Amino acid sequence: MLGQRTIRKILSKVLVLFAFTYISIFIFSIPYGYSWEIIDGRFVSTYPLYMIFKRCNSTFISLLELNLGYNIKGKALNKVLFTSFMRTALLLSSSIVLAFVLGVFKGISDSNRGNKNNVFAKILISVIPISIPDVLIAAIMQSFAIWLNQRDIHIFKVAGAGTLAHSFLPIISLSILPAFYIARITSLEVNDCYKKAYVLTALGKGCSSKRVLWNHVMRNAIKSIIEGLPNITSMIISNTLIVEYMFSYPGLTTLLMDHIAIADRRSSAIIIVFIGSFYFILNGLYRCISTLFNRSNRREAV
Amino acid sequence: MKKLNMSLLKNIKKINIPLLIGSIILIFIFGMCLYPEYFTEADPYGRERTQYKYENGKSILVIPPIPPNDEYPLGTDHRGRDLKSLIIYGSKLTIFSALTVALIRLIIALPLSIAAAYKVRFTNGFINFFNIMFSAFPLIIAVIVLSNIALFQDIFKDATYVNIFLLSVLGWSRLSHILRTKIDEILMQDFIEGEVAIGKNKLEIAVQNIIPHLIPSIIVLFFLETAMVLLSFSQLGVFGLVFGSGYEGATGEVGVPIEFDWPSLLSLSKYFYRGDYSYLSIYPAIAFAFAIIGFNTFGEGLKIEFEKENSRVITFIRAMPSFLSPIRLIYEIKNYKQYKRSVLGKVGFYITILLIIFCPKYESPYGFDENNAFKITKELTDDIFKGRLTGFQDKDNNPAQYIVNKLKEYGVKAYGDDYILENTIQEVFNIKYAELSMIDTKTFSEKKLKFRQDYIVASNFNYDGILDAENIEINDGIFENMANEPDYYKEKALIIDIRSMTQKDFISLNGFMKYYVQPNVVIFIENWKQQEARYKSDIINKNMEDTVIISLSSEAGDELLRMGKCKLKISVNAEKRNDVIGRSVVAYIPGIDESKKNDFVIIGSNLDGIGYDLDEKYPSAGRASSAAISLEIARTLIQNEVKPDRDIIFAFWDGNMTDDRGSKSFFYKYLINRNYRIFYIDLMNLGYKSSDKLMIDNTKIFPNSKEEQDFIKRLKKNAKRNDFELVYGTLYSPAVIDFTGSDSQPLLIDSFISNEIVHTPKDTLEEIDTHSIKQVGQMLLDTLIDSFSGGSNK
Repeated sequence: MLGQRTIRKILSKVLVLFAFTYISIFIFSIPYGYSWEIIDGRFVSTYPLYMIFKRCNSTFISLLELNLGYNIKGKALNKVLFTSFMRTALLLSSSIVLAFVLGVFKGISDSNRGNKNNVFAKILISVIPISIPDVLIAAIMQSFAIWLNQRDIHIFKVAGAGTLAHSFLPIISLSILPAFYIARITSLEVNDCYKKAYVLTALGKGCSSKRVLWNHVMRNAIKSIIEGLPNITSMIISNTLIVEYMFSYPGLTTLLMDHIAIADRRSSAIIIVFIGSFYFILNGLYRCISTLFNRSNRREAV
Repeated sequence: MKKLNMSLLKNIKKINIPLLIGSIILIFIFGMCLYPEYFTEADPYGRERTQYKYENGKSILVIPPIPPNDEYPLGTDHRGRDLKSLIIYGSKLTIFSALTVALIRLIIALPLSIAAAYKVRFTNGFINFFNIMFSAFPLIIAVIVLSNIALFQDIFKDATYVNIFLLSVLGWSRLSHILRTKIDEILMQDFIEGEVAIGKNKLEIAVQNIIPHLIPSIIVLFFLETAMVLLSFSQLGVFGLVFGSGYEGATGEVGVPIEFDWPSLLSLSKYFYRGDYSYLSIYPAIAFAFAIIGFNTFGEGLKIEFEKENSRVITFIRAMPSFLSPIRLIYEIKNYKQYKRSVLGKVGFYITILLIIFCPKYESPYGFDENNAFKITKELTDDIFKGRLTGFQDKDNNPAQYIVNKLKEYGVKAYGDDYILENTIQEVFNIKYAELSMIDTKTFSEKKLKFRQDYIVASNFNYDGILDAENIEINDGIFENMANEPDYYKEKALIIDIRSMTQKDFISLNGFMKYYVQPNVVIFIENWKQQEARYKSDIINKNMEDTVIISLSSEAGDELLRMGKCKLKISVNAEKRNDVIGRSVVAYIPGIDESKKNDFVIIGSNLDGIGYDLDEKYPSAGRASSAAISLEIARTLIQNEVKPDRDIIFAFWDGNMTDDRGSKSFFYKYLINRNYRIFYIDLMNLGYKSSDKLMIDNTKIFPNSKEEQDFIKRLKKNAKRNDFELVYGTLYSPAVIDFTGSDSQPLLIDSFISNEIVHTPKDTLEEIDTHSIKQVGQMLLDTLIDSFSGGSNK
């Protein structure tokens, strides 16, 4: 049986999801020409507010009914969305995995592991990479791929989608910044763990540094690293916009920008809800993994 | 020695390297923001243009964007603007916008975080929800969508403010989250319990305990948040969200961006990011990276500094209010013996501040006599010259002769054989009066439209007649009908609404009417709006030479269409003259540097005006004032015996709006096919009292032309000295067409005023004042002396 607390928690999450969906649709339901004018000393809106709510409610209800309808070009939105959703899902999941693996290893190598030398240098190593805008990373990647192509090395496709070669560069571009963030979290967590008594005891007992790192430090640090991931998710979603745009990758964010460009407000609203769903799905996933780790750690402790 | 090395190494290890690196980068960036002119030679508005260049004996067509090369280390954008200058000049708007956003976010986040930490109802949930909302809904999408809504544009007027507002109010939640954690930590401290015990309320604890303890964190977060904002700017830029204040143009001209900023540079590069033009996105992105690294390392460095137990930074920050307190200073002065050192330090500090504030204003050693310039303006706008229209002047008593007399009086030499450069102008005209009335055929009521307000005449001959109005619409039968019954259409006043017509249809209809119908009267309903002032700019439609052509404003056109079947009473009074003599005046002050004998500076202004109507006077005082300023500059240079390094030519053009303008004649007589390097300064309409800004157009000056770019830098400096603001725009002057080439570069200067003055009857001496003439004249005079005489002779 689910406890009352759990039900309340689930209900609050559902409420947040509904609120997010409604507000997102509302933002897209405001017409570009909407403004206020002063007539006879009173503020009068140039577009009836109830019409905006009416439009918003209609989109919200059709979304709840899973009736996505057609976009302005007359294409069935569910079909267009599905293909793009899958492409973005591939891009996001691959880059998160890559970022996690790279980030954790880099974080371990960046950490002091009890050694207090080169503190400033380590800070610089972690700060400088996260300061590089994703635009620059994507532009450099693209220039690099063009440079390779000009020398008849066709490992990477510069733009588009369809083959694995098309996805390499977007995945790499998308995973670099999060990898550095994860490295930063990992390095801080590892450093914290090395101050803990159980690590000092293990070291005192003569455990090898490798054993201490993987069996004592990382086992405890990994939970905190996973808990830090939700902060990175929003960054990855924002970066997806840039990466998909610059690599002409026909994913969900490209679809959104295309629909914004043709002023298809209803479709844009629905797409943004789907983009937001990535955030909720990924966060839920991190929580599940974190809980699993917790349980497994507790079981071992018992 | 070894000991010394060890201690040195120890000291180096103690240095807060992130803070040091961050400080260096930030000093560099703020230096760039405040003094961009010291970081680059070129002004960001200067442009390379499509032209042939000779390299190694070969002619190469150069089309911007130009990739990085020796002249342009970062290349140019597709408008030919130097990317290095754009980045340097763009830093100001970008960095200060980012700082503002970070500051507003902090201002929003701080009270909310305190309230959340105190468990005030809903605040915690509000912060959490906002955080989730704009984590799932990418902030940049929200800003892109909302910034397009008219409401924000109406409130803030400027794209920069809209973006700053949206980024601030939608992006504070992450900061609030961090601050709340910090406040929670402070509230857990023992001393808070003590404060509660002595009876402090929550507000007192927040103000007296939480905020002072939070200051170091706030400072650190401010810099880190600025870095985050810059990151958002870079993303917004890619999607074309321009931060600059949009576009600005002179009267009716196409504009260019007023300001430059890094996001705009990324938005321009979106068309070119692939292939050879990747530098267009890479360099602005590097600028972003550099600034973000600066703010992040500085923030992290400060954090380390604040976390030190014996941090001097905190002591310094805490001591600041006490140091600046005047009450404390008074107390210390009263106890001078005790606080001698402190008093001396503080008094020194305050004296320095006062000196900076009340620094005496720069006085030029070359006094520009504004009263003399005003007197000349008054005489040029006198009724005896009847609006100074080319070809309608008295042979002996004309504006050219007046200028010549003045030049002779001042001792300025004639350029060439004579001061007056005569040339034949094929055709001149003056549309003095016109009448257009709509007569309802049922009620016979007559509605008279206002000349030059509701309509303008675009043909230059006399006409009188009453015709039936015939509305022409593009449909399948119209061309056939016209071809079958040309006489029917010829006898009508043809009404053509071109507002919704395609260009293709318009061209076809025009051509058809010209060859088959040759109508007496054609009235075009166009998109321009009814004007309050009678704007006179007689541009002739040469497509149908024997047809009266009238251009109707959109409002008047709607009125005519609503009337349906009606008659039109049309009367045009135009005076036309052929093969008249244009009289431009050209004089000069010779240069002394032999190596610059092929270099010229030409200061051009218009001698002519637009002529009077039968019932209205158009003195064109702004043009007259420009000529007067030019004359006064010449007089001051001669009087002060200033020896320029190159020839400075003072040109007063006649026939400005004709095909046979004086500037063209001058160019063909003296300059064509000669290896001259010319810097042409066109003075358009100056000296208006309602204008505290001056518009300059330097878009036709190459970014790599050092002397011209230096001139612009000095012009900016002298504008500041004379309390004048320079704005940038695209201006049009026919004379400039003659001085735009690879060896001649023009600069246009005009007043920044409303369209309701220039070319209208309001353009009178009453609009001109000595103060404005002095500002512009002194600025130009000082800049000319600074640039072309090797500095002040006095």
